[in-house]
Amino acid sequence: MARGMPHLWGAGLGIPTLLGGVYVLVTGGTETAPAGLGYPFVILGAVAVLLGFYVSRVSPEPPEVDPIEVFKPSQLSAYLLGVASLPLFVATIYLLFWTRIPYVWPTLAFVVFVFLFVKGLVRYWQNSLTTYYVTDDRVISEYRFLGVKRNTAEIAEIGNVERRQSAVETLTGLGNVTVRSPSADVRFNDLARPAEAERILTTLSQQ
Amino acid sequence: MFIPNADGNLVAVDVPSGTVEWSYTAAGGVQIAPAVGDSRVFLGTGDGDMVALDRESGDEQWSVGAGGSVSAPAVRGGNVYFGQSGGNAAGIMSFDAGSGDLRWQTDVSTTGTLPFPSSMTVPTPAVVGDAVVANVQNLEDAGGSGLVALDPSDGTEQWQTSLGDVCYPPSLTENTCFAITNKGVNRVSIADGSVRWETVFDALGASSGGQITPDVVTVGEDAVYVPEPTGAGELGFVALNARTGEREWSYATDSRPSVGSGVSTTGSLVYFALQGELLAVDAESGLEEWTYRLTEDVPGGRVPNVGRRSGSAPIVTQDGVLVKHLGTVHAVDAGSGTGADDEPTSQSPTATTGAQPGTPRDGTETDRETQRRDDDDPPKRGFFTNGESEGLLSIEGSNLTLVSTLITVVATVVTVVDLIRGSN
Repeated sequence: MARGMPHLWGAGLGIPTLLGGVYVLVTGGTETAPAGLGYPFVILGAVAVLLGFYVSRVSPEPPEVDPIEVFKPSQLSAYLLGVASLPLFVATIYLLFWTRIPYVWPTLAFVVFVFLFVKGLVRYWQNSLTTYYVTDDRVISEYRFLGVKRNTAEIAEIGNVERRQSAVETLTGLGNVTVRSPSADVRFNDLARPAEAERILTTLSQQ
Repeated sequence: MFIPNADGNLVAVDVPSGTVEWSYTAAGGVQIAPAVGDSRVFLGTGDGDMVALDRESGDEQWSVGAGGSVSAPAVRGGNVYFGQSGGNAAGIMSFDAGSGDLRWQTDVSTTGTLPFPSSMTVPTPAVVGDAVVANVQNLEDAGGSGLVALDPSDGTEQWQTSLGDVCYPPSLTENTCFAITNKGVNRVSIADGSVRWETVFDALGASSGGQITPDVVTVGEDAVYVPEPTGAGELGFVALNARTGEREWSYATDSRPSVGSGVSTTGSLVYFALQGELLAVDAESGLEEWTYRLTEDVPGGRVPNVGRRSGSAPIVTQDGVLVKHLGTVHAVDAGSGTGADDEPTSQSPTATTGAQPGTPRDGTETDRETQRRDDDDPPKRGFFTNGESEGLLSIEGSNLTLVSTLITVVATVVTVVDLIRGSN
């Protein structure tokens, strides 16, 4: 199983969107907007529910060695994107059904909503399926969706440990740490405590 | 229901029981249908008085003598509007509906030189949110007869539009005004007074000299219904496309004379009063749905047409269609045509004697010319404009579905690709 509750998040966001779309289709639209506008909401809602369910059924398999440290991406950035999309959703519905302004404006609001909504969901699901392991001799990043994607760097080969935080990440406390080695670079994304991860990895690489 | 009866009294009839609740007698008689407010009924009398009655009791609450002739009133938002004609001038007056205090008065025409009977020189107002629109027989600026729009708050003139030699009282919707002239039917924008279309009825020009004039436009959902002379003093009625003015269908009553010039509609059915019959026609097809036999025919001719809102047209209420006949008000079920009062129903689901189904929507009648102009319905919502747009910009509601669906599909694909690619 993936970490968190991706199926519940998918259902919580997807079912209202899907039902809203069905409602628009069934009621035949309004004077200001056609019934067919229900289709995008049905598609979006259905995708959220189905992918959420799928993501909840798969998860990275534990590595064959015992990790001495496990890092998991924070979901804060995903939550922020989801929250940021809600006003755009409300704006889209309002502009579409309660005004007669040109369609370009509700369409733009819809595009921004879809961008933030999808971005947030994808981030949530990706983070749910991602785990970072530190063992005695390896640093491993593992991601599983349809298949398994695993990046491994030998600790003995680590040449550099980088920590990067954008302005927004600094405000939220999130950050990314990249372990560079001749064989592979392993990125730890959306870490809630990037400084701690950097310290541990740097210490290990210097031993 | 408040109707002027044959004795010149205004009678309040309870619907659906049919009980007469009160009767108001005016010195000059009441011949024009009243306007009904929340708690008052407003009417103009034959003596030129403008009167407010208590709706429940019929007690007179205020009366203002204007002299000359007064029109049917219009009431909205605590104000009541009357048209008045006397001497050489005609105007619109606005009163506080509660107190009867005059709020404003605006002269809209001179009348001294017009060859009309005095009753026709009275401008009859109709009111919507932003305008009081009235028919005027001698426009001061535009000349001829037509419509004038005034600001409801202070009576300031907004526009005037000349439409012909004679113009009858307008029927209003939120954005649009319909009015009949001696030439035909006009659709006029309430915003600026521009004529959107005019459908000419040649028979109107030939109907002068005592024939009935179709002075009322009834506005339906997508069509307007207009009585039309069919020759020999008879009226049928016609449905015109509300957006274009094109003829949708017509109904000829043949040898069955009408008792008034009004049509009513519930949206799905159109009602027309014949002598002794109430006729219901399908609003979409023009085919006769049923007739309701009121009583025996009126001997010796038609009931006098006392003008717009006279009560001679069927009245659609939530309790049925009400129609006045020989001093009796009949309540008829709007859908089935079954009667609830003193006369058994004579339904005729198919065409009855003398009735003709609606003609096809070919708009090719040779005695009419339809001039299509721009349309001022709530404009089609465009992608970049509030109205119709051109070329690549003409993405409207139906295509918007495609655009937004494509956006969603693309977003879905991007989602799946992002998930497959992973975060690293």
